[in-house]
Amino acid sequence: MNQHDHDSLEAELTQLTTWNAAPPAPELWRRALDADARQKRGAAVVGRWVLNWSAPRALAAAIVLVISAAIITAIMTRPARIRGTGASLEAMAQMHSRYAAAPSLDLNEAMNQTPHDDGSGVGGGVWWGDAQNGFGHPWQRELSGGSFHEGEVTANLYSAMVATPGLFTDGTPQQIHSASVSLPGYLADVQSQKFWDDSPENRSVIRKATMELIAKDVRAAFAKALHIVSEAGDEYVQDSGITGVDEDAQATLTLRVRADRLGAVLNELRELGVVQSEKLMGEDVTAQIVDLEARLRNERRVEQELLELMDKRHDAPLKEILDLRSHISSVRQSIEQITAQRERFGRLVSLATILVIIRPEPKPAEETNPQEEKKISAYFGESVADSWHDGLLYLADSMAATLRILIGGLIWWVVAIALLLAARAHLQRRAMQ
Amino acid sequence: MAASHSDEQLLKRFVGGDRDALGELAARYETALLGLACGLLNGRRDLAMDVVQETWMRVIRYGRSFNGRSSVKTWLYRVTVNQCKNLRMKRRVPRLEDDQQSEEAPQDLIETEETGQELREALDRLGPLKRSVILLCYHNGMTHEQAAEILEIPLGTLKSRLHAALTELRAALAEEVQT
Repeated sequence: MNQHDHDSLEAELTQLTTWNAAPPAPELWRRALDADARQKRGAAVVGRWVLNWSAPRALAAAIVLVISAAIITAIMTRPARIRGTGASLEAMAQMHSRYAAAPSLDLNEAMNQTPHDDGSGVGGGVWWGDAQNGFGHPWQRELSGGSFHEGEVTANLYSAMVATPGLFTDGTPQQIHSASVSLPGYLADVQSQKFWDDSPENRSVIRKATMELIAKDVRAAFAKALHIVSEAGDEYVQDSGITGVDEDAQATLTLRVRADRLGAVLNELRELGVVQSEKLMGEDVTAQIVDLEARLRNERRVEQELLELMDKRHDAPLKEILDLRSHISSVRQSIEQITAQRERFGRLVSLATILVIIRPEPKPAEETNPQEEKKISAYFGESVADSWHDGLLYLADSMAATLRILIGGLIWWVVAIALLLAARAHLQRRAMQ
Repeated sequence: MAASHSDEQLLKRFVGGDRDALGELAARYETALLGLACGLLNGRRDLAMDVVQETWMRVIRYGRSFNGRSSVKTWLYRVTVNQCKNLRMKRRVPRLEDDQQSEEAPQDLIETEETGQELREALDRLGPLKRSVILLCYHNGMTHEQAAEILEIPLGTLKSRLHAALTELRAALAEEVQT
């Protein structure tokens, strides 16, 4: 430290920050001015990047962002529009979710889950398929393996059944497809016993039918179908709806009719159009009802015995009397539950459920003469016309999406601009120093 | 004889379009800024010139936004110190002895006083904060108040840091002498 005493240290430190060389030529401030001028002319000075957000640049960036978002949105929405099924896709997705819940329910609940086709009508095929799947879950699978009464009846089989004298009171329906398969075993069963046993004391069957019709005038057929239901006989329309317009209209109905009128109602429905498909299903709940009734009788007997016991034991300790009352209460609760179940089965058995789908006649395909091949110019013209139309749709989609982004995301735009301005101010503060 | 203008007036004139005002401002501070930058950058004159040129670039770009909360002199020094700090953070600034062997740094662009070498090495071993405090406080004509304002720290903090830095520097130099 002898060498660097206090004074000399200070002097050396001062010397360290002293510029001893000749001043740079040209002066640095002139170089800076030249560099700045070059930058302003567009010749960027490479070597030191300075973030300098100007308002026009920020605006341009925002516009580019909006247009990009609009284009992406339009591209994503465009395929659905071209196929014309955009609206029905969502409806179909909802149907899937609803049907996923249906199989675990009983028949009545499953029918309540039956959706309306509130799409554009194009998804009707899917709806029908889903309807079959929905009804074809454990409940139906369980039945299909059982006896004839408990199984499902296809349209062809059903046509043979209705042709059997006495099976249906109204005779052979008009629009049923003729049987195309031989039905030796089933037909023998059908002829040997009635499928619809009208005597409730012998058999309790929950009946359900689905029918798909093709009609020239869907709305007229829909109105007629609604009138088939006899309100006076406790029958009612559980569900009805019509979707689409004009030739694309499609109707769905869920009818609850008296079980003994099922055949007659089906015949009336067949007259509304051409039967495309038909399905009948039955669930024999006789065993369940018998079981419920047995349990009910037993519980009532227990209740009676308990009441008698209570009458005899007036002098019993209070605790025993209270216990007895508690037992009676639980037995009565059980009786009420069983009664409710029995009544519910009774309602399901007494009213059959019919799901009707009415579709318009398919449009006839344009007849084309294979001999007349289109000329390339005509093909080109059509392609151009189609492209023009698609382009207009695309433009409309883009405009709509842009508006949606601009207006719908207004709050986010404000937030983004505020953040941008704050960041800009912060960067500028940093850049100044 | 024209009346001498204050720094703020010169800046205002420059912002108004008078390029000579910047020249006048540079005449007052360019050499001093070069010296400080050179000291902060281990005697690298080439880097010091880059830093000071960048300082003038900032004045040109942001002079219009200068709000006068500090003096122009303080602003210029603060920009220079920050630029040196950034440069040292971005790239390793070689020591003087390395520089002398470096092809990138010509001899005429390097401070070559041998007497300052030991001191530079000892300073280089200090932290960047202490180095800045020492060099700024012993920079020509700089008061402690001005140094505190440039470094944006309270005066008391500056003094305590200066004391600690000098103690550490002396110890380092003494150790060098003993070895």
